[in-house]
Amino acid sequence: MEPTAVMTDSPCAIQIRGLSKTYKTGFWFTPKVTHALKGVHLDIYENQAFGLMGLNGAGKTTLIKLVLALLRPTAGSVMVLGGSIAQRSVRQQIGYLPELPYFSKQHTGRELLEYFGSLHGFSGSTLQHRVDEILELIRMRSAAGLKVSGYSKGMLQRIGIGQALIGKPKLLICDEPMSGLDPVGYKEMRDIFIDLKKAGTTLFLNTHILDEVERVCDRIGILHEGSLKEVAPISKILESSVPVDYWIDVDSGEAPKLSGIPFQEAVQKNGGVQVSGLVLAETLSLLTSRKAQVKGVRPLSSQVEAYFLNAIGAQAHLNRPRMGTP
Amino acid sequence: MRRILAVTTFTFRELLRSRLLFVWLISVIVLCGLDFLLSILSFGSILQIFMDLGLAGMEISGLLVLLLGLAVTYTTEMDQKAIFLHLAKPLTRGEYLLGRILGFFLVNCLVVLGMGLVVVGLVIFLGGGTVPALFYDCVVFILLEMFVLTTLGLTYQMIATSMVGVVLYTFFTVFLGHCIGEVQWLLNQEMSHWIKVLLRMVYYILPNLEAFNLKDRLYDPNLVLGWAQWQDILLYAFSYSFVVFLIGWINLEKREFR
Amino acid sequence: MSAPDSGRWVTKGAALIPVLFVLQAYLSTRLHEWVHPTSFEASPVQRMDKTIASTLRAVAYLTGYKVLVGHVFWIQIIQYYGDDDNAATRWSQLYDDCSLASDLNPQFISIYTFGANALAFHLKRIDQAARLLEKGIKANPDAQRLKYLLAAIGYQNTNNDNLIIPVLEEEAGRPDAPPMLFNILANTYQRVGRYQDSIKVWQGVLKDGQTDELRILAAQKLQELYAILKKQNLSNH
Repeated sequence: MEPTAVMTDSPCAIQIRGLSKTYKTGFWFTPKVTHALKGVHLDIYENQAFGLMGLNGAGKTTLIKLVLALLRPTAGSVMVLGGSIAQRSVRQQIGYLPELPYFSKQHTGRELLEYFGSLHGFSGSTLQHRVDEILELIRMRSAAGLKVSGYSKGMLQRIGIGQALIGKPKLLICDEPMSGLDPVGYKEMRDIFIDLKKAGTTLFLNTHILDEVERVCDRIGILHEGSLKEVAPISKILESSVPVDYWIDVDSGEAPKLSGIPFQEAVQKNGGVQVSGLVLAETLSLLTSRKAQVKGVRPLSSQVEAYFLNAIGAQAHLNRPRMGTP
Repeated sequence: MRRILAVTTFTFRELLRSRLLFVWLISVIVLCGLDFLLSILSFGSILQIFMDLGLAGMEISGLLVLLLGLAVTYTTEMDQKAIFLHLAKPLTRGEYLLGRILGFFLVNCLVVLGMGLVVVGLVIFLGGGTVPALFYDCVVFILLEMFVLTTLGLTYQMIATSMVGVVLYTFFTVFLGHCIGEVQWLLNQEMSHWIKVLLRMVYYILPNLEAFNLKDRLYDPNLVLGWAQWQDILLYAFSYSFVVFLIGWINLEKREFR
Repeated sequence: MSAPDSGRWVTKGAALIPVLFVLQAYLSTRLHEWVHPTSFEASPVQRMDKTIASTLRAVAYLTGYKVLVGHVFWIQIIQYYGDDDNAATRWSQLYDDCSLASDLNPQFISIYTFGANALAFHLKRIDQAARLLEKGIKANPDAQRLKYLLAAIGYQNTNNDNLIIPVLEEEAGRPDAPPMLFNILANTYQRVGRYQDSIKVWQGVLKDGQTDELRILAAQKLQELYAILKKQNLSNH
């Protein structure tokens, strides 16, 4: 199914048409061809946050590298901010955070930001002022004078986002921005994204973290095995009726009341039962009819997760008959 | 230009702090030790030995720093993919390559000139002699050779797919570039036409590093070094380096970063 | 600044490659005549192991450190020379050693002076000494010492020690005079009957000789010379 782009009034920040990428590996006589991307069409609108989701190896990083011209497409085209990525004026307006950014360990955090700032054309006191602003934003002021070799994974990720933001980008492209962050760092990063979005920056986030997508993104796209399966606004997904899984908390002492019911053993053993949203009402009425006391019901997955799993066809696999499921 | 300068400063700082200067320090210690040993073992012309050994030491330390620098930065830039961050910035790949070359060359200048000061010190204070005027020409020739090799090394870095490859290519270029003078001699010998064609190709493609080898002719009374020779050598160094730089740039433009 | 499309610059640069390539190839050939005014020289070796000679040449020419390799080779030659234990082996190939060392480092005068002195006055291989000096003079036309030495060797051929002595005295007066030259000078003095001069030289060797063997030899020679003088005095009385 070709995903349909949601039309908005905003112009396109990234316009991808029929983008394909094939990797050739192996030797001359035993060539091996891998189709990393298969004819992807995608529009990412300005002033919006777009989340690209997919399993490992789905082609997400390849797509970002093609947008940034770190890879050359086998077929198709990419337009960024109305021009070609080869243009300096276009690159000037882009920030990029790779997955687990690696820096030369011989520099301090401040020196790195100064360097990347000067590549964006800042110099003198303007550069220093901009670096100070970024250090404040990423909460790295106190560690700015230390060499990068002494930084933790989280600190490196902060410097990574710092260098991506130093040029005041109109479009920020992040590949797994939350990897390596602790819960505090994760929250801070999410807040930075929310602030940037409010300030009108277009965000293109490539992520696994569904919570991040739900809280930050306006639209999501699902990439699976090199093909774009779905593109939809997050508001529609949250309203959708894609079934999610629930956990029904039942005291194990209630198990004898459930004789003859398949999930009796599960209740006795686990103190509850996991069911699909499709059969939640029926299961609850069954429990009520047997006068078993239900202590609580909670969703095990979000709408977005369910939507994602559904889109990649994994829902059926994950919803295989479980012990205790009616 | 400002962006090239930024990459140059970045590279210069990176290399200086990579403990590559320990190599320089070890070279200085080895040179001083050898000079001291030779002053005991040899008799006569000790100043000539100091000078010859010193010039060779300057070139060797420059080469060592270049090779190690190439290995260290290949690991960071290519293997660990730090290059992504540079190339995603408003910086052309040509600017990036040129900035890297200049940064490497600056470090090389520092190493070679530092060693030169040690040599002058040894000659004046340990040998009690004076430095011949041609010594300074030799230093400039060594720097020109280093410039050509730096351009080649970084171009290899843009083409090669492994750190070992970069180091080996540069290492063998140094060897082949020095025996290129003997290729002309071989061409005058009796041999098959096709081997001669092959040798001629090798002769024109490889850098003629012997052209920069003034250090072996420091005391040659037949040496003529005038403006014409300077013009030729400068033009040769820059035309060869520019060809190599362009090839490196084209390769970098075409290179994909998976 | 609006974008210089880097691809466009690369295309322009690529067009320059053939022009620059031809220019550098032309300059490389032109520089060759300047860098290598004489063609590659490999003196034939007769007594020396040919593998060692070829390996040395290969290392020197491949690495571009001819002079450095020449110095290292030369220093190890002079460590062997002068020791009687090496008379059968190293001394016999001294001419080959000197030829190879001077191929690698033709401007190092010590090779010619040391080699010629040793070959002519110690090993009595006058032809080889003369050939080595002629090679040295060709490579260093301004080196007067080599011309004097060549003249002295010519006198040696005529067995006229009185003509050789002034050249040997001048050589021995230089700071880089090889130790063995003093033995030769002292023995020449002795041969022409200038025992006092010979004693002075041996006394110098006894005082400043570099090795125990040299000092022992000097002591023996002094004893011998004192005995001759004593005998002469007795006969005069």
